[in-house]
Amino acid sequence: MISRREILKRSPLSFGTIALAELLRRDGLFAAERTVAGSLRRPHTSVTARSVIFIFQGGGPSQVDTFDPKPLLQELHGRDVPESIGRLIPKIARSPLNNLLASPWKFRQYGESGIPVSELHPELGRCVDDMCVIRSCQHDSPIHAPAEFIATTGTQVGDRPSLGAWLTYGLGSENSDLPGFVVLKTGETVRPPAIGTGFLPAQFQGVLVDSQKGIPNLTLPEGFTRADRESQLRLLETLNREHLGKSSAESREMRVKANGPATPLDPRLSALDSFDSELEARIKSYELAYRMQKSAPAIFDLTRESSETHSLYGIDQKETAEYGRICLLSRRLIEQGVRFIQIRSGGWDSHSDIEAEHGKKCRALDKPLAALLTDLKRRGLLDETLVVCGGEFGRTPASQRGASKPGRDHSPSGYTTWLAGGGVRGGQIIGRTDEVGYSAVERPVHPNDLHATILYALGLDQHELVYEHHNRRELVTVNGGKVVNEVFG
Amino acid sequence: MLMRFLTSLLFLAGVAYACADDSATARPAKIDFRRDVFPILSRRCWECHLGGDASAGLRLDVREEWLGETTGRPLVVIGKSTKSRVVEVVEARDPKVVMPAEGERLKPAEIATLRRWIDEGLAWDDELLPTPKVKSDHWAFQPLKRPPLFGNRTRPSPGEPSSTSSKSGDFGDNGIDEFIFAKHREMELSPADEADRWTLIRRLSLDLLGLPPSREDVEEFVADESPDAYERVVDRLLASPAYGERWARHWLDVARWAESEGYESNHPRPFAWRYRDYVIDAFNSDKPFDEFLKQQIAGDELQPYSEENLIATGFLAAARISSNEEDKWRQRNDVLVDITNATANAFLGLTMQCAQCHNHKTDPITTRDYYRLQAFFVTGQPVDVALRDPALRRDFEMRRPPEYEPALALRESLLESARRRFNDETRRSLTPDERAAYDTPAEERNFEQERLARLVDLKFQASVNVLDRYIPESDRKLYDETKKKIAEIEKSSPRIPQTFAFYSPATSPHRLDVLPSLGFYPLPFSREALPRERGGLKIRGDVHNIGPVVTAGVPAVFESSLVAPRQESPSTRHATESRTTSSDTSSSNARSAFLSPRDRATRLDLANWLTDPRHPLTARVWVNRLWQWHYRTGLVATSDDFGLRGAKPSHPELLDWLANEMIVSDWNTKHIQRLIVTSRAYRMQSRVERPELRDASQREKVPPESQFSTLSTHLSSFPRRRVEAEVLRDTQLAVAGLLERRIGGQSVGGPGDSLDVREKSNRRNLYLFQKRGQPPSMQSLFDGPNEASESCPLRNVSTTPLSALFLLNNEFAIRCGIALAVRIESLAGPDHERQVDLLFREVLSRRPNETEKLKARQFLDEETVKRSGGPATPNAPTPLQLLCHVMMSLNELSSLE
Repeated sequence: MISRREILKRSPLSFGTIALAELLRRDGLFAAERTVAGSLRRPHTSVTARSVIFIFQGGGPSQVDTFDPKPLLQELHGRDVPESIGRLIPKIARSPLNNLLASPWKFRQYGESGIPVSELHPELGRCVDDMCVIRSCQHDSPIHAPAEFIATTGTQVGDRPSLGAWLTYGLGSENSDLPGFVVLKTGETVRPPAIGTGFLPAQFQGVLVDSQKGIPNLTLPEGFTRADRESQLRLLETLNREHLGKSSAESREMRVKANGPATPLDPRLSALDSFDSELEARIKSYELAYRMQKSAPAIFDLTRESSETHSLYGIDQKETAEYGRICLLSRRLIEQGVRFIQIRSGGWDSHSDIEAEHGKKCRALDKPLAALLTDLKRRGLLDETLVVCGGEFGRTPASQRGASKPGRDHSPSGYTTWLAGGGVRGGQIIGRTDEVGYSAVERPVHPNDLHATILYALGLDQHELVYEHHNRRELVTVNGGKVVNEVFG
Repeated sequence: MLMRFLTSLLFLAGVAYACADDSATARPAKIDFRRDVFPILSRRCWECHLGGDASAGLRLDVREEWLGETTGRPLVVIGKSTKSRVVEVVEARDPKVVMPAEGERLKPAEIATLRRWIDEGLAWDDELLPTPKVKSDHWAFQPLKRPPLFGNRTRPSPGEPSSTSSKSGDFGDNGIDEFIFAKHREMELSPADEADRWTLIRRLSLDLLGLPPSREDVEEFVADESPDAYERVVDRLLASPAYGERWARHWLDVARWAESEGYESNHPRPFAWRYRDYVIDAFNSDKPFDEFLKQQIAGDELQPYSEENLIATGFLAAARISSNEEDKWRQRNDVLVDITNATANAFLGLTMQCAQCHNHKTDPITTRDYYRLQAFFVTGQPVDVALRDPALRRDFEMRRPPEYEPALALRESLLESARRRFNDETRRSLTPDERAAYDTPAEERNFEQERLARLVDLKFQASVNVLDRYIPESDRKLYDETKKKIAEIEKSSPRIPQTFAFYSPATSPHRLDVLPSLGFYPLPFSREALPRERGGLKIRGDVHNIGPVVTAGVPAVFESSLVAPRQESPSTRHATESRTTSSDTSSSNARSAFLSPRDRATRLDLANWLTDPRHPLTARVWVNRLWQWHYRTGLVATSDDFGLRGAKPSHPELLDWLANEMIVSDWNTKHIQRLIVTSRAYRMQSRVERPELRDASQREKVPPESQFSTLSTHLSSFPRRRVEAEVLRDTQLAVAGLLERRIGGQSVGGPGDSLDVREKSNRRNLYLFQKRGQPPSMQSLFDGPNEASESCPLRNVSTTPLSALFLLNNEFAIRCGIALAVRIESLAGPDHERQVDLLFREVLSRRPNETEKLKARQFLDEETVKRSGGPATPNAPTPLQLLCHVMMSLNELSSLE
């Protein structure tokens, strides 16, 4: 009997091509108690999250204007960073130490925890008791793409699998009618590596879903009726089964006789029928595709939601409608068992006129995000859904040089990411930046640490989820990374 | 402190000279290593710091280790004992720091000896203490074995003269089956029977051309009763231009080739297609593999100049470049790392990338080996180079508007004044030290000045985008107008004929015309600065943590396996002897005889070393790749890793026999392929019953061994597999009769066109623009190349409902189905039975069996009845169109059987 660890290690040369989800499902991995014997070992008994919603704020939201108030920054407006603070700031390109810029927004405390949130997030502020705000995120790349790849793939090169691909590879989707990794985006282009599979097989790639149009190639070709399609599929299956033919029936029978049904991976036998299994999988993929074609439109049909829900998410208001739809759709996909949802919210790169730009972004996003947390909670889904929200970096407390209206430059030295749900202990702040909010001075958290933490919440040990590539055991956290245990209280 | 030590090593040579000369005049007798130093080391140091498991990993019995070549932490700065770590620790007051850790302190006289030894140049005695040779008994690093004898069929060993020539049609000499069937006997497996003719010609055609055979070709072959019918088909296919297109794509995977820069900016490389065409042509013209390799690694160095040689360096140039990286050191280093990794993967079949940051965990490859290999590339870079071909130039000059050149000249002169302003301003911003260093001629700079000068160099390297800002206000309007005009002309008329190549102004004998890069913050090209580049260790792979300088060279482990004809005799080395760089510590054993006697080895040296007939890897790696592309699994299953963690060969003698065959046929790739596809093993059926495996006791005889060693690698039947994304798309177009068979040229959907154009194109997928991260739909859904960020040895095969959705609903699939229906109808008329029969023969190269015939006909009949009351929708598909669409989605269409 080959262990699950073997399955995970298996390279594409032999059997890595069958969706792991399939194999695991056969073995009852998704049984109710969700505990597993074997070596894809859950490191701790209480898995706190089943799925993840990762809201990526491309461009880099400013920490000192949202979740990290700095009274000293307000006082030092227009002045230089004091030497005592400046000498601790990592020397990174585009980190000016002069001309500090006070935040144009006021902060107030919310909830029982009293976590301060700025005027940019009045709605989200009401959810702080469910949120864990990490103020000390830090890495060292001040450039968008590499930083985005650090946040989504762990290294800045952009050639490794994104976190969503890893998790789909590791855990599969809980709904065979839908992809396990769905990417919802607004107008701008998504940088492909941020949702890519790197060296993992293509099936784990994030599926870009237009919030209006849904999954690509999901509608019948023009002129086709459902009846046409159904008779086509019947014939297709008949002919494909004919092709699969007698010899595979033979080898299947042999496999059952030799090993029993639960061990499809005996290397001595897999070669006999690995291609048959693949053909079988492809026959099934047409069934799945058609089921997806039939069921997905209903999932994407937001008119099935009440008008109360629509207004909770702000879908009835122009400013919030787009993100409202995306957030509501996320909740519906979570209900359907999608493993990893990545929302890409761009436009946070406020070099100039941060007051107008951040204002506009937050007006569009604040209410839908708050609605997502509220809605997940009231449906009992927040407990098992880990929500993560942050950008590839934060912004400098100092003014952007040469900007026509006050703005801030990129700054990876200290920025905020918040988490909620999925076992996260809400109402807490982790880490601290210096007195002007430039760099993390207490409990720095690297994106690699965040990845380890997300895996942990899903019950995966970062050292157990491996994939053999170039004859090397690849990990999500290839450059290290430690679980931020405080997150879970 | 450490940093200063490390960086100090960069330009040791000059320092060593200077100090040694000073001290030589001041002191009567020079230190003699054997007499003065050896006793101290052996008594006081080697108790702990000796041999492979030396304390703290520091072994003091090897000169290189004193210089920190494995650890990256030098213990001495030659010529500067005061700055040497070893002196610090022997003199240290702190008992936790002082060395030796046990026993008495070194005597002042002993310390003085060590100091003088360091100051005088760290003399060593290679006879007494030779640098240990790296040895490995790993199979892949051993010379090719003389192939075992089969009857009277013997082959000369590589290197021996050979009279063998591979004539077309010469199939009598196929040793493959001997090895395969010997293995069968050993495993008590019985080989499958030969497949039928329909299967064989389709297998051959998909495998060799990536396209299905035409119905006519199938029928001709099936009816051909001559004994060499099969061989003639093989010859015909190998001579087809489509063969080159198919096999080029395999190599392009290995070459991580694409048509954009990658990373964030991902600028297109509009002329990268010339390399793709070069590869197609190399396969079609049966270019010897050794020449193929040389052109790709050293094309710009080859004499005489040829356009083809230059284009071939597109292999090296295919590296990704982060075009908006402002840190120029990192930018250049990333490119070098990419090139080093790809070269090692592609030709050596080794995963050297591990050694970028640390010594390889399993293979005998050190970080030093990695950076020595990298040093071959440091004076060159990927650039757009103008071509000289007169026909191309004439065509370009004729079609270019007359106002173009004057506009270019005007822009250049305006930029020149901007550059002067920029240079003045940059110069003003320099510190006095920087200015002094920069103004000192390169050869007179000391180490610190050289380091500064390089940093200053970077400041002066401004892209056009930066210079733009220095255009004087008075010229602004004129400049903007000129710029606009040039852009308009370039948009509407052809660009200067050029290719995206790798070029080193230091090692290429040709002065090539380098065109401005198209990137945003491109990798700066400087004829002056590039020749000054030196290879060097980067500690833990960190570009800013510079370690010792290394000269170009090959991994040490290979030096013992290749007997060098011009081996230098080991001699006592002395720093003040004729050493050009004191860190070139490799003269006795690490300098391969293949490397030039000059102080800098060229890439041609590297290529010559790789293609030496005695090289243990090159031929093995290449024939193994060929085998893998024919069978999906190589004889070595890890075709990019012949190292210790790689798979063991399933048929070691066959691998060596083929490698040998490769070399003695003058690296004839087609010869090897012909051997493979004409073997009996290749012609076996893919589906067989294996009664022998029913019996568990028989099955026990199959050794459980490695996970890679499966029954299909014993080849008792032909292993079926899914065809690649490109083959599936090309096949659909071909059977639909839509495929456009033009070979080569600019890609579809490149710059100036929308990427969506690719989806509608009827050309082979190979010609669809390869933008990194944004491949054409089918390529992305069926595991084709995506980011092409590294050499891809073997593609994944994954199955997802999204690819099924594509085949069911995408406009492309529908279009092919409709076109096929039109063809079938015109050939078969309205009769359903004839339509079905013809469809199977056109689409699957075979006749339908009874079930298929029945089901397909029923389908047509029923759908026709359903439509008897008129179509349900205005654009309703006809029954035949529905059937054709089903045929296009069949699993069998995408299987190589």
